[in-house]
Amino acid sequence: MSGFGYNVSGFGAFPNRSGPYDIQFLVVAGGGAGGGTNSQNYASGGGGGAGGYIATTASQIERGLTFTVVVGAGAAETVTSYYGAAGATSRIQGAGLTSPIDSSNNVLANGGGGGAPSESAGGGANNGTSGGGGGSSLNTSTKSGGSASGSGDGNAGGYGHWFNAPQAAYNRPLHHAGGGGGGGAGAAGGNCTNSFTSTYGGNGGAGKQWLNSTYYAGGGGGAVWVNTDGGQGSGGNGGGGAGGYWRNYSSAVTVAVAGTANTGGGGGGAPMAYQSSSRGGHSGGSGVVIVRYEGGQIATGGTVSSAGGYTYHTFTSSGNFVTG
Amino acid sequence: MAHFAKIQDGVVQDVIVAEQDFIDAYCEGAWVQTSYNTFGGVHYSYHEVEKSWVEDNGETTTVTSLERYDDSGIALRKNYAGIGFTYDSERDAFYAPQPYASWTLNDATCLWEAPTAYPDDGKIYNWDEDTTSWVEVE
Repeated sequence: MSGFGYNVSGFGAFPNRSGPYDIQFLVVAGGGAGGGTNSQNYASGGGGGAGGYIATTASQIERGLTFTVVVGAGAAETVTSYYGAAGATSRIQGAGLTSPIDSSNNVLANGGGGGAPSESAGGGANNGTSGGGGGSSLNTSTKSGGSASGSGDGNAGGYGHWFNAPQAAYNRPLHHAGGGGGGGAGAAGGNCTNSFTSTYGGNGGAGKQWLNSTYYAGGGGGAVWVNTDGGQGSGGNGGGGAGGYWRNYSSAVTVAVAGTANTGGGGGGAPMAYQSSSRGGHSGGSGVVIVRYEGGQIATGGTVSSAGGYTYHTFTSSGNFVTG
Repeated sequence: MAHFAKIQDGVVQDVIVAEQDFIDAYCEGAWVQTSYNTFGGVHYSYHEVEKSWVEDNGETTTVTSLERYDDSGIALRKNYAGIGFTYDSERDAFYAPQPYASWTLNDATCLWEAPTAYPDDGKIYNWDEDTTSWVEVE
């Protein structure tokens, strides 16, 4: 035994001070942005999909190696009528990494898909690992959420819907529009729910909890446009932003919320694009890469912390992880 | 944290969180810095505000909402870059794809604008590209 608590041969898996050691790491890509509202009309965008989520282990990594870490940005805020933009990929690259890797030794998670604007389904070209929620539709049909594809855990977005009926109980036409929730790493986005009297935007799909007990990669909530009862979709656990809320006839509006930085959460969908305070669907949260190993610090890179007998290297910006 | 966009043929291919020294050392191709909280030529911050309205049953609902405000920060390159956005080197600005052929780019904001402004009469309209006009939704 050389050094109390460490370098104890056969004791747990604490890194030997001179040999290779195991690392566990998390790669989360940037979240997709919420969808805007088509043609700047009264409608609701879907929530943005969460960034792809990869949690894995690399065994017996040699010392003195350098791993390049790239942290993907969250998608840009949606401008009026568009699909939300896709989040950017995050990755860690270097020798010794194992599945899932690509041909360039990258463990790579794709960005989340953008939410759909009103009038549109979520299956657009911006689909990423988690699908964005579908937008509401002006012709009363349901608009599906985007499917999940790409590298990293992710799920499909929920559907959006638009409801329209002449209504005797109110002295006005009855319009409701709700966007679908963006998919999260752990669950699909919720569907818009609406009836004659109320509409709720779909909730963002839940993210996944990593080894540090924190949730990442939650989907963004769908927006809602109502003139009776209802509410916007909440962001999925794991940094998803809530959708926006537009209450007609009272000019009440709450803006969509961005995905939380360093979680890969999807952004909330937009309720009413022409409203200057709501504009488009909100931005996705940036991604994150975290590496951990047992015992005290023997590597460099990122922000270093310790908890529960592990050392964590958290990258919220791109950099190098160097095994010591 | 700084953000950088990878540009190929004037189109944004990737956006990452990084500092300049990382870009210089490890990133091939053309990378241009972009600002996360910039939109329409304005740099924003957010604060909480309370919003209230009267429900049909006469009760007042109050919620806390985030609202952004111009914080007078540097609005670098007009808009935060998104994958698929254009980087216009002459304007030194990022902007989204054009939504309709008739819409034009506002030089000050680098946002797309309809040929006619959205009517300010409290009614609801769709944009109709065939007639290049706002059409009221019944």
